Amino acid sequence: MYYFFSKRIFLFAVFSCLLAEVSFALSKDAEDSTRVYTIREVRVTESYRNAEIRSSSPLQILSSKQIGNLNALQVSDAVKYFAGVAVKDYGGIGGLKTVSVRSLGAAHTAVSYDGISLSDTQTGQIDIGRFSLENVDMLSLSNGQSDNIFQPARLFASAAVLNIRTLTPRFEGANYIHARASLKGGSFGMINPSLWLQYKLSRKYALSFSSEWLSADGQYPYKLYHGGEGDSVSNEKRKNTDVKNLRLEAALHGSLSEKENGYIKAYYYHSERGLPGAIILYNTENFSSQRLSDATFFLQGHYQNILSEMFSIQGNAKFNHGYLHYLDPTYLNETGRQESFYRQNEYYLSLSALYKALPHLSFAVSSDGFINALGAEFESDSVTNEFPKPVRYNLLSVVAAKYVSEHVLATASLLSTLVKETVQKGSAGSNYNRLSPYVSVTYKPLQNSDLRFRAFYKNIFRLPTFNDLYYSRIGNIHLKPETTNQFDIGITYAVSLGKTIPLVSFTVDGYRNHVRDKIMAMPTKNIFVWSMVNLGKVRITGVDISGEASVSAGEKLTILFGGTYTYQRALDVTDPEGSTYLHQVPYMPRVSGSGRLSLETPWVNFAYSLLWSGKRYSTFQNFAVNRLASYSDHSLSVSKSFSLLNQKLNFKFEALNLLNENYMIVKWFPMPGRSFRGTLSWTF
Amino acid sequence: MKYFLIEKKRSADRWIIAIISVCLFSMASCDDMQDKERKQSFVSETSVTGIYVLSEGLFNLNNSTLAYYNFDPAKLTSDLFLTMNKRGLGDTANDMAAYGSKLYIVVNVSSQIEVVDLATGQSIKRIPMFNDSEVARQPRYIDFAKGNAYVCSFDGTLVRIDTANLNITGIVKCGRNPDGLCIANNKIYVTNSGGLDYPNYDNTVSVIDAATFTETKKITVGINPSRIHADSEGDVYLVSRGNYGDIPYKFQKINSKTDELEQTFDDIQALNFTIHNDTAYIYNFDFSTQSSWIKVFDCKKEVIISNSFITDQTSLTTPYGIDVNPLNGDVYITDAKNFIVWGDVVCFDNKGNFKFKIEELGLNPNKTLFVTKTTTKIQE
Repeated sequence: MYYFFSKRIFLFAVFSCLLAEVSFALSKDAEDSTRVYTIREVRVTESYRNAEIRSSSPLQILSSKQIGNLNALQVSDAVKYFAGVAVKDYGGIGGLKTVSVRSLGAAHTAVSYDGISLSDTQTGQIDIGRFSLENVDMLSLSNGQSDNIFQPARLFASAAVLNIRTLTPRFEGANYIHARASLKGGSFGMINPSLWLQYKLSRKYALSFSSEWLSADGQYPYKLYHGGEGDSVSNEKRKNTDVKNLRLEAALHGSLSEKENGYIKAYYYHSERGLPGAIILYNTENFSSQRLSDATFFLQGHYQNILSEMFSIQGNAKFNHGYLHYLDPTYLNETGRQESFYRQNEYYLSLSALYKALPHLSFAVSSDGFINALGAEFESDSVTNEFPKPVRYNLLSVVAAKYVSEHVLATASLLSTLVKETVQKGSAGSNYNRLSPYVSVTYKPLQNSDLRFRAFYKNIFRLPTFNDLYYSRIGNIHLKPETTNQFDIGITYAVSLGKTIPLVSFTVDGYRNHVRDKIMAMPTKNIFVWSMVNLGKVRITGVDISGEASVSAGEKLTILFGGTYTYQRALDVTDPEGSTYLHQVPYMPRVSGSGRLSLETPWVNFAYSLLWSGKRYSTFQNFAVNRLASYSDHSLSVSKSFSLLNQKLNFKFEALNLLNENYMIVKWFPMPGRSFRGTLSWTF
Repeated sequence: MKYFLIEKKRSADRWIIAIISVCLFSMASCDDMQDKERKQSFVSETSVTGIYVLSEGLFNLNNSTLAYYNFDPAKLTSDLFLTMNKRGLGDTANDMAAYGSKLYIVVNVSSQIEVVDLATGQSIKRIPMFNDSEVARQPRYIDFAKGNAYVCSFDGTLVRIDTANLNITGIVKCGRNPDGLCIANNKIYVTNSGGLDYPNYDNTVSVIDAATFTETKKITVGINPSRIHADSEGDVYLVSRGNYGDIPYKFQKINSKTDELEQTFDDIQALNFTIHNDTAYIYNFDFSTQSSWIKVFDCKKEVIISNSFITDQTSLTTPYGIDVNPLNGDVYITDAKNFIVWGDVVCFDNKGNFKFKIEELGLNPNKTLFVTKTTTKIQE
């Protein structure tokens, strides 16, 4: 196996050795290292890193500043830098992007926006390519669940949570208005103006507004191999990739007192795009004519009050409306087109209470009630009339406890899920009633060292989606939930090595996950009609490593390094007699990782970022013909800021996929090659 | 982190960093994932030199293959088309048939007819199947008569191709989503499935006069008709696949002299069949019970000869195609397994005794074609 020793892993290992060397060398000048450093940016990074190190279940955070150095446009671009994550990216700005954590599948990752879950009961997965990074303050990914027990029950109800936190108003001095306008432009006709504004209404209230427009034709070139590498090849251009997005967001934030705060936010997103589809040999043009138009509107609110030293309460509420229109104008039915309209509504209410029973021990209860409804129309009335119009009533309740002392942090929770479903046509799916336990602990053995051991166990499931249950002909109302068990043990460590290396930190986690009753499409009714069944068991054994270090060379030069490495055996263990037994599941690399490096100087800042992935297989059998090649994607940016009278101008130039590597994450959906992007932003 | 503690913890931290580095270094477990080998089968057969097996692959994966299995010496070329032409067949190769020295492969989603040299697998011509507004016709099945190839396509057409110069010489409109054709009495019979208008299926067979190349009649049959074959007496048999719900599959017969639906065999709920020397081998597969049967039907006497063709304990997972070796009457059945793994070809003699199995030769194999000694020149 050492023949396959990847150069990149080798570099990573060398890098970690270097760090060790440096740390030995540095111990010599320990005397003058007692000064407290005051670099503000490092502070911010450090405080996030601190949370990552202390967390009892793996927590990974990217601050807005770190995101700025990742050469990322969409949330999906940044999420790729987390350890243990596989973003299924169909390529281009408009292509679907979903995130699977530790090979559990995208439907097991919840995505929350400012603390409240986003939902798509129809498909069960959130397209994180829709979310811009323009107004994102922080991205965090929790495996299992967060150590924060005082949060809505829904955030306890998934195998992993990706949290998107947007910028909240902050005012310095007598300023009452703060704004940023930016304009991005880049390859493949990309134009992306945005405006972000916050306005202080009074001592208690502030308004924020964020908007952006993005349009691109997205016609990027790629190399098409009409077989495997070495077979005939042609230079092609991706077609039907145009996209137009509009996002509008407005919020009223209130800090009523030291103890009482909340916000109300309205969000609107609309997108018109082509669905480029898979490359079909000799027929790509034809396959690239499908259109998708979708819109999301939600109104959400949050209120929190620390009633006393011992009691706190919070409430969260949301209304969500989703609209989706799909059109295939070349479908060979009587009308010559296939068309569907879907409308989803969600009504959501959550109440939580926190009780600090003892200085070290607190308890929380949380209850979320929500209703999801789906309506649909199709090109023909006969199909429309058959649509069951499902409505799902959910009641999630959780009790949780947390113990914190100098050496130990432990949490435990028990989640109850009650689901009832009704339909207007046909039969409804089953009602579900389940209990899901979770425990986690972290232990810090040494007084003077930031070394911790941690472990967590979580049992959770995902419900069948409306598509799984009711999709025309394919749906199966007898589905059971898809269940996951996660075991994780890890070590976290952070140290400050003097003013030159103010921060070095590592986390290493080993895990074993089991997925059973995996919901997948199989032909069951007859040869032509595939339907969803609970079949499939997956056993995942993996290691996630992340490391970060900052180096200050003199007053003026700061270097930040970060990297992740993931090793995963995600094996199909469905049937010992079957021909896919112990084969790696589709699209999961055995090894993958990321790296980032930024260099801050008084004149200009540089940021380099790297994503790489080992080979993968596109179908269930690990045969050579199904193999997708490994890839690496390098990006580089240069930025420069000018400050004048409280105003700041920033220029940034990014070169993406610098080596112009022609690669695919999903088979027959090529990724863009080398491209460029420029950003001009003005902040005051 | 409390920075002022640094002096005290220096020694412990040094060790921790060293250990972590060593762990990382050794743990830099490289990509140890290896390709798995496919099963190999060594079987022998003397009546033919080898067989071609067409596999449609999976939708949108462009992984249709043309496998060639040579019997002596036993050797599988898993994709002869790719090997010979340095390009793949494309997406969803649905049907193939030989005429003269050429092999015609119908590639549904790629919307192409690949014409290759039967002896070598070398491409002679790729015929794009698109209409005037560049919409894919999506060809499904092919048959031949008097120097012409006829191809029915999902766009509701029958296309005529001159097999001498491989040019399209005519197009005629049929019903909705044709999914099968055969030729009898100088007429082409095209089954109009209407499958893409689910649940509003078509239920007709278009009759096209070969001489005038016009549709002369639409015969009403069961809903969702698909596979269709003629016997030597000019009887045209077909299966209507119902609605996969309350309306079951049907095995039916059209008289090509009167062009009337003559009979529906209620006791034969068939999914697919083939006819060889006026004997029909008919199979069904029941997904709910995962069981299949193969019946043998005498097309002259129009009675079932055998209700259970397989005489031994051989079991098939999912029969997906059935063909007969014209030289000795052996019956070849392609087994698609669970449709996501590579399937097999299973051979029985004409008495239903298991002869051999060639394992894992393609993803969703659907058609077997027999190559005789005189035609093959494939050199490895």
